Amino acid sequence: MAQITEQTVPGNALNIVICTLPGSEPGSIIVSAGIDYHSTGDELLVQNATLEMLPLLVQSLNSNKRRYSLVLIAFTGEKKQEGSRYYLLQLMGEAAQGYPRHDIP
Amino acid sequence: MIFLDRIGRSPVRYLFPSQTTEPRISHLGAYDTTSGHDPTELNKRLDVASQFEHKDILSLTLPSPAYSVIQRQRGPQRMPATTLDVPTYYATYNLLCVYLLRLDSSLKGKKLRARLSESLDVAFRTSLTH
Repeated sequence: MAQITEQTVPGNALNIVICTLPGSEPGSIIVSAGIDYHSTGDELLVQNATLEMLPLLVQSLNSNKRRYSLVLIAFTGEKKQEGSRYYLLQLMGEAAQGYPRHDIP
Repeated sequence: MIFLDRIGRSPVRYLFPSQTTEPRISHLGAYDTTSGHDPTELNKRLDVASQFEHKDILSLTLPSPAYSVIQRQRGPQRMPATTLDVPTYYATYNLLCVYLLRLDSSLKGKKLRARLSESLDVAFRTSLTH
């Protein structure tokens, strides 16, 4: 069962959206894309399609048994990558405090 | 970590963060073995993968360049590919499904970095035959 969570990024209007498809073993494979962009025309279509790939992958791979958790993340903060930076900070912070983290195999 | 960058314009490539400055970048399929990507747009995106790489998390960027390369009699020629191409997008979707399944079963042991790209090459060949 897919688990969807949001993570607020300070100073950003949009949240990071995280969808996790749990696996049977420790470890995660992360697939990510940008969620906020300021394009127009063809560029906007391409970026929308890139983001839409994440739910398509969830739909296709949700029913498969996995060894590793599949974590699909839409990162906010296109220009300065604040979203991915903040996510990593949280991830490393959790690891340092002994909380469960997305162990990369 | 796999970062998707503007996919669906042209056949997808792959890049490790450390390869941004290499003139001959990694590529997928028989496309453009001598030229790099648009450095401005790509470098912006590679930062995401670089951030993960700096934290010792293996990372890969899958970009779809704003051009495709066709083979002509006079040699390979770049053609602009700035619009979303549905067949290419669908092919990329198939490729990603196969790749993620393959990665899930093969990502273990040593040489993890090599497995990231090897799995993609296998997925590419597999998705071409279906």
